Amino acid sequence: MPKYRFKSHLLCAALVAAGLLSAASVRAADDSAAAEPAAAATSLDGEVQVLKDEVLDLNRELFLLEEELLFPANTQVAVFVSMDVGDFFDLDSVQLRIDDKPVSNYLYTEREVAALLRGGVQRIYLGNLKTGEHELTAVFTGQGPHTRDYRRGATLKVEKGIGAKFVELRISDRESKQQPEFLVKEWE
Amino acid sequence: MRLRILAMLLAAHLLPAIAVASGTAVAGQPAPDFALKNTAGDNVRLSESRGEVVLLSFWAGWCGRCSDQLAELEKLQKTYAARGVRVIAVNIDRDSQPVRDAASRLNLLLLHDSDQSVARQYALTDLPMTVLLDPHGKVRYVHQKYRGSDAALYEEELGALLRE
Repeated sequence: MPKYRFKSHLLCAALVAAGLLSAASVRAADDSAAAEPAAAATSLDGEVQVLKDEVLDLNRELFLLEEELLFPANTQVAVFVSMDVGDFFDLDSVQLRIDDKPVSNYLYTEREVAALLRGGVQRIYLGNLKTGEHELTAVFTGQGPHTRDYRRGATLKVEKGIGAKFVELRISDRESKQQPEFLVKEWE
Repeated sequence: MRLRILAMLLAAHLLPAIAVASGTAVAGQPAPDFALKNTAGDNVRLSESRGEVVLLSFWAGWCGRCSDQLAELEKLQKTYAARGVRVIAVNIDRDSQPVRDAASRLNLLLLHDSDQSVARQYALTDLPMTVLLDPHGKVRYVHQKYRGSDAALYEEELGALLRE
């Protein structure tokens, strides 16, 4: 009887072990089956990410190439607008003329004026000019002191040589006269 | 060979830009940006509506179908404004009287394109012309003219754009 009991215990243990082993092997098989698509998805994600990075790099290169082709450095002229304080002038629009030909007419929204007053600089024009002398005129419209309509022009003669030319249109307050001041100056 | 590939890529890159610069409202392309004055005299720039679905309608005072459409657009604006839809009605008359008249009876954002520069940018051929933009500022649907049933179509398209 004890011998028989020992044998039955041994058999039970063997069965439980076999059951556990088979369950473990099934789980391992399940895990590996699940791991395979997960690994494939991770590698695909990686490849897509690399591809996206390459597209972004290519796009950046094309953008630079486009700019170089359309605006070569030896003919390029860029005009920027900046504003300082602005207590005496509420900017509405800027019209830019080069050699008496309008090249840009820009209306400013409230948000854009706020951005300029916070120190932002806007590129209002990017184009090409032949070497030689050119006249650049900027007409500023808006509201001046006591909310009166205000329209002022500022002119600059620029000598376009070899190399890019940068011009700034600056609006600032002249405290002594309680009036706005409009400057057109070249960046060195 | 490398140069030829680069040239082809550059052409592919430039062509959509040229289409936008020459100003056509092409579905899938970014909408040409503009700034115009509203009835209060403030400047409004289209690109400042990024993040919202925009329904842009070009109209004129002499166009009967346009006034029917504006009344429907006002209803759409009321229904969908809280969900992020902005209706912009661009008047192309040289005279500002039709815009002032519309402002007195409609609660819509009315802009005045007196020199028709924006109409040219969008290659306007018929009135009213309706352009629906997604929150990224891309043109998604373009409609010429207006029939009564079009309001339901706009609503369907606005719903689709809001669900994206």
